[in-house]
Amino acid sequence: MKNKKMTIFLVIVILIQLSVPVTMLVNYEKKMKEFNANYKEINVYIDGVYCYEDSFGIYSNGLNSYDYSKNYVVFNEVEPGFYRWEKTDEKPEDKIYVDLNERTSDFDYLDYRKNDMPDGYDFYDIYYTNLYDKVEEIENIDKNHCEGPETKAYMVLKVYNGIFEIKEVYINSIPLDEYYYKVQNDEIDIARYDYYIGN
Amino acid sequence: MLNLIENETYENENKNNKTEKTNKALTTVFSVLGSLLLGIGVTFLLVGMWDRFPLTGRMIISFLPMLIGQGIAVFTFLKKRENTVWCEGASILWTIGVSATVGMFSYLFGIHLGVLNCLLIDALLTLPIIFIFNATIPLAFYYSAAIAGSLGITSMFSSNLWSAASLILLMIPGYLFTYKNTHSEKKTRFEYCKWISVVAAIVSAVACGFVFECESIILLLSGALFLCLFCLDKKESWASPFYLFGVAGSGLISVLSTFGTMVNEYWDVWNKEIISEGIFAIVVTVALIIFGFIKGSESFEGNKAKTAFCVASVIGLTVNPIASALYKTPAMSMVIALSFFTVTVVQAITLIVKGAQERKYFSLNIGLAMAISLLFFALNSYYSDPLIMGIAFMVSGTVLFIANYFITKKHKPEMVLKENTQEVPDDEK
Repeated sequence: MKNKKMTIFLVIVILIQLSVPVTMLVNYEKKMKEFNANYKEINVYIDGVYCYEDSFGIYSNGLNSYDYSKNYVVFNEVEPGFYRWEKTDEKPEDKIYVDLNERTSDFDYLDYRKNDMPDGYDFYDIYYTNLYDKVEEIENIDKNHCEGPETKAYMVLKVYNGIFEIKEVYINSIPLDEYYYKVQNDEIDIARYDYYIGN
Repeated sequence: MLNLIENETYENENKNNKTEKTNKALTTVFSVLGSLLLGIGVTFLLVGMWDRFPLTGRMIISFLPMLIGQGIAVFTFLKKRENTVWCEGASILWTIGVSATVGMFSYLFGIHLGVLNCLLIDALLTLPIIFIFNATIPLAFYYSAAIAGSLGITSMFSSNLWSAASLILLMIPGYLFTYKNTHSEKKTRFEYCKWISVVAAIVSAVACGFVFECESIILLLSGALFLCLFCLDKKESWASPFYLFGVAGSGLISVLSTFGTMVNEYWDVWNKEIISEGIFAIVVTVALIIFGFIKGSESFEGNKAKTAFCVASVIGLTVNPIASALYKTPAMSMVIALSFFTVTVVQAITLIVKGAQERKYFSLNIGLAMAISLLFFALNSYYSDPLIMGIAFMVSGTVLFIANYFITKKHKPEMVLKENTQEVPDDEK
């Protein structure tokens, strides 16, 4: 009799334990289904394209997956169809926003980096814009190297209910992967371009 | 000649046996090392390739630890239930499997649980495992996860009271498990449960006080717990965790309480904002004291020293909340300081006298330490002169040395007498 009770108890415990990850999975699927049915696409300026000696990539300080100094990022329209990010602690009402604590968001492109730059590109050490869109010099940077025509870089975001997904990134209206391919094949000379994108 | 040959054969056989044993041991060591390296290699592979797996693949890999743990548990339950080693091993693997899967799923599917909340879930899922297999090893994990998880409740509900309540409530199943087993069986692994439970109780009581951010509550709860432990003790041996922590802890709390009133640092006034926390602390304190006295009532019979010590502790614990509320006027603060001082002195004297009479080193030395601490605190507060402090140190050291020397000296003749009166076996007569 005691054995039977313990066996039933064991089965119940196993089922409860299995239900915990299954519940997490079901909640995730539900959330993503709702997201895919209701998202809105917006264009958001990224903060910069950085150059290392042998790689380049894009970044956005507003949607930085490592910076949780504030919980929300709200998007303000600065031009028709184009937005800039702004961080805030309060959940915005009636605005498109992202909840940085919403871990189902896809930060994929923001860690974008392509290595193995072609030979002959004479890059100095990295430079980047900080949170306030100011260029910071690091070590042996050549200022002349940093001057060049303005570059328009933005990402197309799918946003809904605090969750976001990056659909594509454009640099001067060219999709990011294609842009990199052109750099690899010397169709675009990025050694002379300034990748600072500020106000 | 024949003897020589026989001896040589015997020596050779011995050598072969030893070599075989050494080889077996080496095989075991290197097999374990090999398995360990293999396991580490697989882990590194998974970590390195984790991002390249599709979501479904990662989900399956994340599920595996739990399934493996449950599989081993079911096998052990059905086939090896009488084997303690199998039960303990299965329970720990099951616990690790469950914790790993919950953590990995939480990370994978973006559930913002946080580490502390994950630990709380792990604690709740681990608890039944302890009871199913009567396993003692996961108990330490359970207590740690429960304490950490309870602290996470503060951020989840923004409530210190819930956090403190859960700190206490989550410990209870562990205590029940320990009580059930230590009451029925006298095995070493259940003694380990006792020690772990006592340590967990102390940590949770202190954590409760820290959650409320009030020093007087820390002293109140810890003092009540130590008193309860001392009341429950029946062995009066420092090898028992109840006695060890009960006596030392009560002494420490009394000294700290006295020190707090003497240097005017400890006492938070219980303002309206934390009145509910204060009431909670008093209720827990009273419950612990009543429980300790009722459950340990047998140990007080004929033990005047213990009774005096515990009564003094109760007075000290009663003065604590009053002190916190009325510590505003200098006259009251003097009265309160004297009360604590008296309580501590009474406790110290009872321990010293009991230790000297029954030659119990532990209680004697704790009592002396309490008295010396009071002296130091008083001298440091009012004089702070290196010369006076130096003399105080020398006197204290001398007193400790002399007291222990006399006890040891008295103890030795009795031991010699006992050895001399041991019965000589008949065949040696």
